[in-house]
Amino acid sequence: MKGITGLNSYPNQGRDLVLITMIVLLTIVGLVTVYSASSERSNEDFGNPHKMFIKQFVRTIIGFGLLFIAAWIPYSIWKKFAVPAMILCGFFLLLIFASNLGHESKGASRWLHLGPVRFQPSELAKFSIVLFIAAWSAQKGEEMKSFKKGILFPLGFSMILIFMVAIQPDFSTAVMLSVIAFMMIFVSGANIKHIAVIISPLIFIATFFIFTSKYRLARLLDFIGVGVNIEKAHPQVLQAWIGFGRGGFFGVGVGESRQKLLILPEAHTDFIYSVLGEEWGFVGAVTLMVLFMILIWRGIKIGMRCPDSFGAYLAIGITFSIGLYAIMNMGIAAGVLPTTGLPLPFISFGGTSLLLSYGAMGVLLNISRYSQTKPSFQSQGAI
Amino acid sequence: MKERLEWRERPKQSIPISRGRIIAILSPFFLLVLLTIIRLTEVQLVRHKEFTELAEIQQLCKREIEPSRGHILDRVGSELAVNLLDFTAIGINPSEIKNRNIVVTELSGILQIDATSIRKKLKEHTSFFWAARKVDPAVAEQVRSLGLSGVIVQKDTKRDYPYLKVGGQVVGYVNVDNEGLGGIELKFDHILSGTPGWEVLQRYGRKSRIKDNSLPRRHAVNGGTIILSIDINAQAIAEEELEKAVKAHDATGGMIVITKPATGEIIAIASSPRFDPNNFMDFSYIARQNRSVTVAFEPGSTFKVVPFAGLIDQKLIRIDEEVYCENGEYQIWDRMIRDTHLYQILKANEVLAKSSNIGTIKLAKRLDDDDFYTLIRDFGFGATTGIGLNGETRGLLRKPNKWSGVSHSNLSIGQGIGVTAVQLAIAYGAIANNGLLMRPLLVLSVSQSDGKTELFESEVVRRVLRPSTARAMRLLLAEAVEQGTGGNAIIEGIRVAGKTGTAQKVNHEKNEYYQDRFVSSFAGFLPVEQPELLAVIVIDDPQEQYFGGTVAAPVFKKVMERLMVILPCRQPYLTDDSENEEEFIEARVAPKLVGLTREEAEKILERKNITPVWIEEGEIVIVQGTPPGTPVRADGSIQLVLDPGIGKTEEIKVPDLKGMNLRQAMSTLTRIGLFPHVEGYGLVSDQIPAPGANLMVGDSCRIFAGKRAEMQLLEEGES
Repeated sequence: MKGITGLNSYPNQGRDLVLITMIVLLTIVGLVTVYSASSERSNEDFGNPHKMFIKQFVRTIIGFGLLFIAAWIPYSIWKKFAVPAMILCGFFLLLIFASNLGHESKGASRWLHLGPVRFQPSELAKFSIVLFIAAWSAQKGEEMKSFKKGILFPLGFSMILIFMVAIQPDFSTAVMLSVIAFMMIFVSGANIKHIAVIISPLIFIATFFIFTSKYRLARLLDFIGVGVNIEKAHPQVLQAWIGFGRGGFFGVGVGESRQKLLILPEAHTDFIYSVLGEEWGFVGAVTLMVLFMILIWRGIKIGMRCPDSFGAYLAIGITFSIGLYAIMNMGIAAGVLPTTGLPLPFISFGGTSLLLSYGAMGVLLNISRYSQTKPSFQSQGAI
Repeated sequence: MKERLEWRERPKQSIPISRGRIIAILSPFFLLVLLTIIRLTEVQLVRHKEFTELAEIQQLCKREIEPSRGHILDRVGSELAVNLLDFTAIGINPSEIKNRNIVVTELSGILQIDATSIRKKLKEHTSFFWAARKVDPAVAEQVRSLGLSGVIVQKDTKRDYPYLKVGGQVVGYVNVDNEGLGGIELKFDHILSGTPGWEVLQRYGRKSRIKDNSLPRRHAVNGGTIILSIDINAQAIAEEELEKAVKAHDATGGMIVITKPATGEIIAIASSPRFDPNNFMDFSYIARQNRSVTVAFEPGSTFKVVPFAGLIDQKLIRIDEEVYCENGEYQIWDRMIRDTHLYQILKANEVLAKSSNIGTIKLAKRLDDDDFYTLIRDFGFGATTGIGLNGETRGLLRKPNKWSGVSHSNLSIGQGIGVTAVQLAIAYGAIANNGLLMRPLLVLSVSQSDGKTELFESEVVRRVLRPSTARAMRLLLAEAVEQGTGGNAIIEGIRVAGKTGTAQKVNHEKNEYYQDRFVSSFAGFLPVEQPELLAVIVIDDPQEQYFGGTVAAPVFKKVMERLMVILPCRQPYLTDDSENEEEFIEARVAPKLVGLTREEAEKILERKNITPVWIEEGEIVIVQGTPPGTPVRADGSIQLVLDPGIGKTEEIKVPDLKGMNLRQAMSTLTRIGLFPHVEGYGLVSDQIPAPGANLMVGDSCRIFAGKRAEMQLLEEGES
C-alpha cells in the first residue's frame, strides 16, 4: 500500500465532519427545491410531475455512491490519472466536435452519448484541468515560477481543451474553465508577470468572441444597461427578481412558488436559486449562500493543511471550481452578473455536474483525512 | 506518536500555497457574495411589495365566465327557447399563430368560410376573436386534430327553438353571440342574458391558465326564465289556420291574435309569412316581424263597434230606432259613401249587423268630435298597448283639430285610422270584459336564477264603457254574427259575438283607395255572455273573395272550434259585480316613486290609499312594480323595490392615474380591485374610463402610456 499511495506516513485525521454536514444539507435543500421547481416542467414534458425529481433522486444516490468510493480511495492515486483524464477529455470533445459537424443544422450540442449514458464532457474537463494542473504543480514545485518549465505546458494543454469547449460553442463554460485554470496556476505560485502576459491576449480573444456573436454582444450590452429597462433587456432576470421579491423575508413556503409555473425560464436548472428565494425567502437564500461559504472555507482549510502539495492543490482546485460555480450561479440569478447558463452545484437539476460534484467532494473528503483541520485537543486526545 | 508530532510541525514548513494568493482569489468571491446579498436585500426586502404586485399582475389573468342564457317557456312550461350544449366555437389568438397562411387555408377549408375574411379579421384583431361559432362537433374535431397553435377550440352553446316557426315571432331570435335580436329575446335580453362572472386564473407558461380556488372569482349569474302567456298548442293551431287561409285566398299575409279578454292574456299571436328563428338569416325581415304589433292597417267595419259603443254609452241611441240608409248612396262633402247592399230603412241594431256604412255615419254624427276622439283613445287606439314588444306601432290617429269635414264620418266606418291587430283585440276585449280595457299580458313571470320571481298580473288600464253598454254591445255583435255579415263564424252550440271588416287598401302612391285590393278582418269572441276567448283575424290582400265575412270569419270558426277542444275549461273569470255603476271605483293610478326615499313614498301612497309592498331593505326606491300613470293592482297594493345597498360597497371610483409611471398605476388599480390593461410604456398619459368614473370590483381600466398611446388614441378617434 505504501508504494502506491505514499500516504501511510500521514496520520489519519478522520474525514471532515463539517464538510460532510454541508454536503448533506445542500443535498437535502437541493432535492426539495428541485422537486418543487421541476414538477411543472416535468408535468409539461413527461406528463408526470414526479418524474424529474425521481431522476434527480436516483442521480443523487449514485452521486453519494461516487462520493463514498472517492472518499475511500487515497487521493494520491488520482495523480496517475492526470494525463489520461486530459487525453480522454480531449477525445470526448473531439467526438462532440465531429458529431456537431455532421448535424450543423441542429445547432450546438454539448452532450455526448455513450450507449445509454449521456453526459457533458465540458463538465469532466473542469475536473480534468484541476487534476492535471494540481499534479503538474505538485511535481514542479518551485519550477512553476519559470515560464517554459513551469506554466507553459499545463496552460497550453488546458487551453487546447478549453478551445474545444469554446468551439462547441459553449463560450461561458470555456471562460469558467479558463478562470479555474488560471486560479490553479496562480495558486501554484506562478510568476504574476507571466500570468499577466498570457491573460492579456486571452482577454483579446475573448473580446473577439464576444463581438463576433450578436447574441453574446447583446447579452453583454444588455447587462451594462441593465438598470435602464430590465423588463425588456433581461426578461429572465426580471422573472428571477419577481420570484425573489415575492418571496420576501420568509418566503411563500415550500412548493408555493408561482414563478416556477413555466413563467421563470430554467426554473429547475440555472434559475433554481430564484425559486428557492421565492419559496424560502431572504432567509433561505442567504442560508444557502452561507452553506456554500462554509463549504468553501472547509475546502480551502483542507487544502492549506494538506501534508503534500498535490493534495493541497487538488483540494483548492476542487473547492474553487465548485465554489466559483455556486457563487456565479447565485450572482446571475440575483442579476449582479450577466445571464449565462451555469448549474448551481448540488441544487440544480442535472446529471453530469451533479455526479462529478459528488465525486469531487469524495476526493476532497479523502484529502481531509490527512489534513490537520481538527482542533488540536482532538489529536491530543488521541495521544 | 512520534510520527504525529513530527507531522504536526510539517505543514508549517511545507505549505506549498501562499496565503496571500488564496486571499487574492477569494476576495472577488467575497465581493460577489456581498453584491448578491445586497441585491437580495434590495429585491426581497426593500422592493418586496412592488415585486409581489408585479407578480400578481403577470401571473394572474381574468377570464370571463359566460352565463347560460335563460329559457323561454309557454304558459304550461313548454320550452320555446333553450340552449343546446354540444356545440363548439373556434377562436383565434393572433399573437400565438406561427404560420398565418397555414391557419387561414386550413380553417377556410374545414369551416368553409372565405379565406379573405379570416385574413381581414386577423389584420383587424390583435387579441383573441372568434373565427366561427356554433360549429358542429365533428368539424371542430377536425380543427382540433390539426393542432394549430393560436387556434382555440372551445365548447359553445347554441340557442335552439324546438317549435321552429311556431311562435317564432313572439319568442324572437339571437345572433351568434347569443344577443337577442327580436321578440322576447330582444325585449328581455337583459334578463335572459344573465351577468357574466369572472375568475382569476393563474398563468401557466405562456399559453395555459390554471384554476386556483384561493384566487378571487365572481360566479356568473345565469339568465332568468321567462314564462309567456302563449299556449304553444293554441299558437300552432292559430298559425296553421292563418297560413291555410292566406294560402287559400292567395293573400300576401295575415295576422292573428287570440286573447283571454278577462285578463288580457295573449294566448296566441302571429303573422304570416312566418320564419324559423333557428335559421333566421334565411327569412326576410318582414317574416321575422311580429306584424300583429308592428304594422297598422285601416280596420274598416270592425271599427264600427267604437261609435256604436259610444252612442249607447252616452245614451244617444235607441237600439230599435230607425235609420234611413239613403238607398246605398250618401254624399258627405266631396265624398260619396256607398253600401255594399242597398238599404232604405234599417233599425240601429241592423245597421251594425248588416254593416251599413251610411247608417253608421249618420248615427255616429251624434257623437261630438272630441268625445268621439276621446272614446277612440280610451279604446286604446293611437297608443301603444303596453304589450312590451319592440317595434310596436301606435298606429295612426289624428287629433280632432286636424280633422277635415269627412274625418268624423270616415273614422266611424274605420277609415282614416291605422290600427294594429293587437289594438283591435284589446278594444274588443273591453267589450267582452264588461267595459274594462286590459293591458295585453304576454309575459306571465320572470324568474331570476337566484329564485326571485316577478309575477306579472293582469292589469286594468281603464274603464272604457259602462258594464251595461258592454253587455248591449255583446248582444249587438252576437246579432251581427247570427243575422249579419259574420254568419261564417257561427259555431254550433256556443254563441259567438263578432264583427267583420272589409277595408279597401290605400294606394299610397296615388293617395287614394284601391278599388280591388282589400284587408279582410274579423274580430270576435265567445261565448257571448261570459267571453273566454277572443280572436282577431286579419287577411291582407286576399284575391277573388275579399269580404271579411267570407275570408276572415271562417278562420275564426276553425280556430275556435279547435281551441275549445284543447284548452281546458277554465273557471269563469272574475264576475263583474259592479252592476251598480256607482260602486265602480276609478282605478287608482300609481304615482312616480322611483328615486324617492322610503318615507317620502310612504307618505304619497298613504294619501292615495295604496298599500306599499316593500321588497329588499334599503332607503331608496329603485323599482316600482306598477309603472307611474298606470292603475295599481286590484288589491290596491304596489310593489316597491328598495336599494339593498350591496352595489354601493362594490363600486369603485377610478383614481386619476395620469403622470404616474406604469408600475404605480398598475399597483394603484390592483390594490383597489381593478384590472389594469396597459398600452404603451412610460408615464401614463390617458386612461379609460376617466378619473372619477364608477366601476365595479373586477372591472378593467385601460391605461395608455407614452407617445405610442397618444397615437393610438388619435387613430381610434379617427376611425
